[in-house]
Amino acid sequence: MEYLHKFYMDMKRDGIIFCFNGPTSQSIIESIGTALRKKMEVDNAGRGTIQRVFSIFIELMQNIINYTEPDIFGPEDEGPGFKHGIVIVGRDEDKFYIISGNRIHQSESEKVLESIKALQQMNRQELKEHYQRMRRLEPEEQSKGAGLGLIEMFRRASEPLECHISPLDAETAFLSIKATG
Amino acid sequence: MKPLIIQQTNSTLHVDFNPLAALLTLRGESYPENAIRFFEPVLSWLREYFSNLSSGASVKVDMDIVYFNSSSSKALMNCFDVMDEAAGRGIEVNICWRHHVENEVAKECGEEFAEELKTAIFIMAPYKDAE
Repeated sequence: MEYLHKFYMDMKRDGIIFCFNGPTSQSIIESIGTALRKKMEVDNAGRGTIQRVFSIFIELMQNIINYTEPDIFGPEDEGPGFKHGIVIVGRDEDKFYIISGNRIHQSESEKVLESIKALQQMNRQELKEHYQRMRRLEPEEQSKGAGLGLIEMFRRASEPLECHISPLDAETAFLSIKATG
Repeated sequence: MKPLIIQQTNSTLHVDFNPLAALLTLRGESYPENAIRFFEPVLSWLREYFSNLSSGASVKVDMDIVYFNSSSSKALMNCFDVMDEAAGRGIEVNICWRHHVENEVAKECGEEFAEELKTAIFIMAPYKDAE
């Protein structure tokens, strides 16, 4: 019980606005997203900043739904299992940041890492042109659309995204992504 | 042809396609879990509607989309392609892209759709908060 108080105080000290850890769904995304916008309005973040952070938040959360390897399976008729993810939204002086983490297939983690490395090398104009080119491709060519989502986040973020991959077992890895609004 | 009306939700657009008035309206935000599924009836309606119009017809498209996610972006591009193709056949398509003056992302997104269109007319319409 004491630990929870320390946990709360640590998060407060670190400027963390939101911390979610659990099965992720579209309705959770919508509720947290709405609360996040309200909180940022109260904090007097500009409309542009709120939109950019919200956009990054949605793409990260929907990536969790689309790519997480389920770790707990519910009854078979209830779909493919829970998409467990972690999302933290915080404020570091005048900038907002979002960190997300989820368990994904190793082959997928290699693809994400390669894409992020390539996008880190692009300037604003190159990102824009790459986005427009990818948008013209069919979804299967874009690999479930994540290609477009990653570029979208790079375009909305004020700094290039960072990512880290920790292998979990022979088939899966834990992917962490940090984006600054 | 019957109008297409879809009520707005948190993550899906308000759609009001009125063939009698030749006015197609899209408003709100678009970030559903499955954008392809949401836009499927929208796209089919547009395809049928524009294929039945002849050269010289005039259609107004009024859009105020505050935010859309990356998969909706692809779906919206498909909608614009249908409109642009019709414009190429001699149908006058006037697209009005509304956005709040401070919503830089929506402004940029509109400009980037405009760059992709060959024939349809695309006008940016910034607005301020109501006084």
